[in-house]
Parts: sequence; structure tokens; C-alpha cells
Amino acid sequence: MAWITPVTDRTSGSAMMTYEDMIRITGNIGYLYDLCRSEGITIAGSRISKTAWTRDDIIYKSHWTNLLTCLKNARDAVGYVATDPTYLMTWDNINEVERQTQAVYTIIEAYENLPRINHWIGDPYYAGDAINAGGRYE
Amino acid sequence: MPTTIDIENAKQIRQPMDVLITMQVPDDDITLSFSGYTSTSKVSDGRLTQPTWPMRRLADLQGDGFALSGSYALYESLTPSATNGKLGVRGHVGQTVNLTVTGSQQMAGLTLLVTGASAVTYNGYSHEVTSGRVSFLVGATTASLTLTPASEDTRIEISEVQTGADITINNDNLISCVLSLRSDLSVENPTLPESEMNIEAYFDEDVSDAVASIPEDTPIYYRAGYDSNLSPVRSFYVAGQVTWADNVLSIHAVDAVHFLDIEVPPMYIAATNENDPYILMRNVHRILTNMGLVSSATPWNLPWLFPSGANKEAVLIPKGTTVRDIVAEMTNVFRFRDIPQIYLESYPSRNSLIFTYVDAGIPKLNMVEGYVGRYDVSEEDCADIKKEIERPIKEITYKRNVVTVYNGRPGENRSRNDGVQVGSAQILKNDAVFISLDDYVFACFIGEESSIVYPGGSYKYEPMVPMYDTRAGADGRVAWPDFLSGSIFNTPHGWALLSADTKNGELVDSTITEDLPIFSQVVPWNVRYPAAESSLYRWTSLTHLWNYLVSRGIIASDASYYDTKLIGYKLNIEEAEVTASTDVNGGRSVDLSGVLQGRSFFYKDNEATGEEAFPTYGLQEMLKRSNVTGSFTWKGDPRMQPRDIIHFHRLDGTVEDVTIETITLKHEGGGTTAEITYRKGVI
Repeated sequence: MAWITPVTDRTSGSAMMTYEDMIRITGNIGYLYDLCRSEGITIAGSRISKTAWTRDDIIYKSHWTNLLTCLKNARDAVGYVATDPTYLMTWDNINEVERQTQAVYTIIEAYENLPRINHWIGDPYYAGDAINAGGRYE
Repeated sequence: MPTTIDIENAKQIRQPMDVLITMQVPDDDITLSFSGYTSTSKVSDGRLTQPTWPMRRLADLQGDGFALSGSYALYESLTPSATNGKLGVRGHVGQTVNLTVTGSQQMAGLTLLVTGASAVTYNGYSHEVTSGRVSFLVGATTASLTLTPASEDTRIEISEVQTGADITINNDNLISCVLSLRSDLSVENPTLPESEMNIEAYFDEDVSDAVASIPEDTPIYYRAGYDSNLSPVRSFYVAGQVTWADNVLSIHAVDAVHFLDIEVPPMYIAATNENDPYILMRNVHRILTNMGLVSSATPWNLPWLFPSGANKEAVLIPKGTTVRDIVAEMTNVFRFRDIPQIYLESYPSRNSLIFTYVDAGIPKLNMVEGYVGRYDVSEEDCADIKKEIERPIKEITYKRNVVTVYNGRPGENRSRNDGVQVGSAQILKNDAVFISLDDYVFACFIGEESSIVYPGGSYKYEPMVPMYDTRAGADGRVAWPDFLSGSIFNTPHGWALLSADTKNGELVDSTITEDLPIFSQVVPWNVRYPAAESSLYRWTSLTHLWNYLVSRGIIASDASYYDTKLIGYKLNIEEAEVTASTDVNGGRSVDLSGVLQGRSFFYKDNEATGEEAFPTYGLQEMLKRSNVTGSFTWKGDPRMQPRDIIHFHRLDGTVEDVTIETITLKHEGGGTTAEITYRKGVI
């Protein structure tokens, strides 16, 4: 599934959680897992277990546990430090889940866009050599 | 502003009325079990007979999802309970749910509380779900149900399954409905007559098995009129067996008057002091409400009715008197609502006790004049017009008994340490005089005793009304609550005197004591000193009475243990006095004998001025009642009920105010007619 821009602008308890929301949230977390793997970023654990949601679904606590674990793995993979969202089905908690998802995605995106510096094993470095700050190794 | 019914009534040809009849068929003591639902459910625990357990609010993505308010929770496995809630049976979105209901015995009907379903199919017939509820007749021990979803996007959720069913009869299946509403406005020995309803309705579905399970007294409700303007709901109860033949359901139902056939405990209502308020009204009010009559009146703002002197007059309710007897008599004889001297000047909050007929013949006790319907009917629209004139009353003779108590009368002063010897009976050893009057009365009188410290007021009288109802078990034995011996109970078998201490829930044989009561048990009382003072008392045991005495300071603080015994008194009722009322008109004499016996007076009234509330005033009221009666047939109005007023526009241009005595409304063939009988005047 492609990346879908998270929704983080819920402002009250009247906001609804639909199966499309769950597809986006779980799909994005799965996307982060895939992206880490493709970018060579070490990410712990497995890919999120359930990303296909329909109106017939009821969100189980086990689903949410898996979601929170996968989100934490993604955060840890990029070194993004944040408080774990809770198990409460409240608008601000869901905002936080999606905000963290977006934050991790932004970090990976930035990482991905850094200029490449190719070095070879055995290349010597000397004082005064110019190396682009923030460059990444491939 | 005229209502829809008024507008239709004004037409020569009016639109057919809607008739809505609902019968609630109960099924008691049937245990239900459920099966066959797991393969068609998304989540379920099968808890469908726990109405007080809430349905769990799950993070369910059906429909438009759920609100992120925090009130919906992630699904997890929890033991169903009142705290955790329950799942019931929840199907898959847009799919049917199957449910098999098995009763421990034959079920007359089933009622399901369900959301997300449009219909429930049972036995090949589909029953529509309305407002989350569906009800249908079963007549079997097992019912296999199929629930149809209301939409493709939502799931069926069954929260409750109850035995019993609603049967709805309306214009689609009504063959005929004859409603006979009755009152009795006669002046001689009035009764509280029963109203009835007879219904025939057509059903496609064979419900013969279920009909056999419909018990007597099943509630049935009637309304008629038009969509926006229906009559008040009239409540009836099935009487006799509902029958089924050739797809026609036949129901005979009566109103609730028969529920008033409850025997009132014999009681002696007396005043002991001129400062005693409320004596009569308060106690009659208590009797009637204890027996189940609805009341908007409160005892403390009932009118003051005083005796002409202390320790003199009383009203007696003899053994065998029913609530229905009292209501009939108070409605027509023992009347207060027109009494002007009711002391309203000084105490405007005190009002008369008035019977209002809120549901056909069913009375309710009100403090103010209730709603009385008033209708205009033209003689030219009527048929079968008849008028009758009884010979007027010249004189009413009423045998008013004088009630005296042998060896001690109400309010006689007693010293706390005095005793009263009655034959071989027992001694009174405090200031409370308990009397039990052979075959008639048991009461508590507390005399004035200057040596006793009273916290406020000098009135120390309360009748003792034993009012503890118990229910007999299947074996006819009674589970007594935790009461001491000497308590008096109303058992299914009659009044009974508890002869030994019991513990809560203990089963003992109920003993019926015809001669109330002979107390012989010596009971030690542990005296306490509660400060609280209550204005309402219902003695359910001697313990309560004792605590009351203590709380009022009637039992002196130096008391620790008393040997309290109740004593028997002999009640004499002498037919010693006759009240005769005369009127200049008429020539007939009526001999009445009321159910209630004795006399009652208004505040500071006396016999000389004739301001006697009962029975004199009631008898005078009867003399004023018209002797003109009549009847006619009219197109009918379902809002009408007995005691409503009709402004009868006569052909000669005069308008005669009459009071409806009976009305028989017939709905059949799409039309409505009414046969009305009346008594002239506003009664």
C-alpha cells in the first residue's frame, strides 16, 4: 500500500473512527516497516499483522497491541523518541498515533534524501578533507 | 382550538377512526436458553436474559464507525457481568443471524430487543422490528428465529430476549371492538361498576397455540382517534380465555376495578383530641393508597376534619369491607369536594380529597378537581333518545352506628405504669393503649399523660395498621421476614398473627387468626433514644412501634426493659341513632346503610349546626342529585368516559348539561358509534 497522509486534526469526541481510518493507520505503519527495510534501516519485529479492514471488523485489543508495538519499532528504528499512545479510543490518542506515524515517515524521508558519499574500504582520510555534514553512507 | 377529532365530529360524514389495541402477553417463570447463533455471529456471549447488564460498547467499525469519545472500548475477552457488560449476540455486517430460543415450558410469545434488524422470521411469518423491539406469539417450547439485517453496512445486535409478547390490533385486522365504560351515579347504594372491552380481530398467522397460553389479567391497551389526535390510553385486563377460531381472535377484557376487591383490614379511626388534625381523611387516604390506589394527595395537606369533641367520635371500617366498597361510597355519599367549610381560609394548602376518573372507571385520588371532559352534542345528530324521571327523594334515612369501646375508649388517659385489666387478658404497662377489637379493629391509642415528656405537640395517636404483605411459596408456606412474635401480617390466606419469633427467610406455617389479635407473648424491649421524628408511620412490627414511642419521648428515658403486652378490648356497635335528611321536593324515602360507620365533623363544627362531614353532608349531597336520566345514540367520541359532561343541545334550542353515566363505543365496519346514558346535571 502506498503512503497515505495521516489525519491529525481531530478536535473532539464526535470524530468518528471508520474502517478507512484503520486501513490508513495500519497501512502507514506497515509502509514504515517496508521503508525501513528497503532503506537498510534496521527495524525490530515483524510487519503489522492486519492492514485489511472492513465494516465487519471490530478492533480487538490484540490488534491494537500489535499496532502500538509496530509503531514503537518504527520509532526506535529511526531514533525518534515519543511516549507510547494508549489503548483509549479517543480523538487525541488517535491523533497521536497518526502524528507519530507521520514523524517517523518524515525522518526516513529526510534520511533518504541526503546526498550519497561513496567510500571504499581502505580509503584514507586526512585532516582537512571536506566531507558534507550530515552525509550518509551507502 | 379544535382538535382533529373535533373537526371530524363536526362533519356529517367523518373519516374512519384509527383504533390501536395492544396486548402485552406475559410469561412468568420460564427459563430461556439460546443456541444456533454462533455460526452466524461475529462476537457473542449468548447473554440475552440479563436486562440490567449493559451491552458493551465496542470499537466496532460497522456503518460509519464509532465516535472517538472514549466510551467505546477495544474488544477483549471479559467475563460477562453487570460490571463488565455483555455482548449479547452480534452478527456479521449485512448478514442474517439465526437464533434458537428454548423455554423451560411453552412460551406464549417472545419479545426481542434488537438493533440493526428489520424483521424477525418465525414459523414462516415475518415480524417487523419497530424502534428496536419486535414481539410475536409463539405457542411452543422452541422457536427458531432468523433475523434479517436492516442494511448492508450494519450488523444485527440482539441485547435481550424476553418471554411474553405484544399483540397489536389496528384497522388492518380489527373486525370489531366494543368498549363499555361504566360508572354508577345512582343515589341508592351506589357501586363501582366494571367496564369491559370485547374485541374480534383477524390474523393470517395461526396463533391458536399461543392464544391458549395467554393468562387472565394480561394487560391490554386501547386508543382510538386520528394520527395526531388519539384518545387517552384505556387500560384493560384479559378476563377469561382468549379464543381463536377461523383465524379470528376473540378477547374479553375488563378494567382494573376488580383489583380493588381487596379487603381492608378492619380499622377504627378515631380522634382523641381537638388538636388532632387529619384524622379521617388522612387515614382513609392511607387505607386506599396502601391498597394500591394512585394518589396525588399527600397526607399532610389533606383537610382537617375534627370531631366535635375529643374522645367521642370515630369512623369504623368493619371487617369484610373492600377498597371497592369504600370508593363507591366515598364517590357518591362520602363526598368532600363541594364542601365550603373546609378551612381553606387559614390553610389554603389543605385541600379536599377527590376521586378523579383517569382511566374509564379507574379512580385516582387527587387533591384538586381532575380533568373532566366537556363535549357538545346536538340532539339532531342523535337517535334512540330516551328520558326517564325517577320519583324524587324526599328523605334519606341513614342508620349511623355509634361506636364505643368497652372498658377503655380512645384517648383515655393512661399512666405509663398503669395497667388495664380486661377479663383474663393482660395488663397495659405503658402509656400506649393497644386495643384489638373483636372481629373489627386493632388500633393503637396513646393517651395524654402529663408526667410524660413530649417533644412537641400533644397529639399521641396513631392507628396501627399492620401492612406487611407476604407471598406464599409453592408449598403454601410463607417466608417470613425477620420479625418478632406479635407481628401481624397480611398473608395470601388472610391476616395472620405471628406466634413465634422468626428469622429472615425462615419458612413457617402461616397461621390465620380470625379473631384479631390475642397477644400473649411477653417481649423484652431494648429501649433506644433516636431523635429523628417521622410524620408517617406504618407499623410492621411491635419493634417499630416501640421505637416510635421512644423517638417521640413517650417512653420515658428511665425505661430500659418493659414487659409490653397487648390487650383485647370489646367493641360495641349500637344501632342507636338515625339521621334523617329532608327536602321539600319529592316524596320518596330512601333507606341507606353505608359501609363506613360512625361520624366525622369539620373543624370545630358540631351537631347542632349540622356541619357533619359524614354522613350528613354526603346525604344532603345525594338529595341534590337529579332524578332525571336518559340515553341516546350518537356517532361517538373515543375520548369520552363516564363522569364527563355533555352540553346537550336540544331541538328546542335549550342546552342541558348532563353527566355521562355509561358509554358503549362500537368500532366495527370502519365506523364508530356510541350509546350513552346520562344523569342530568353536573355530578
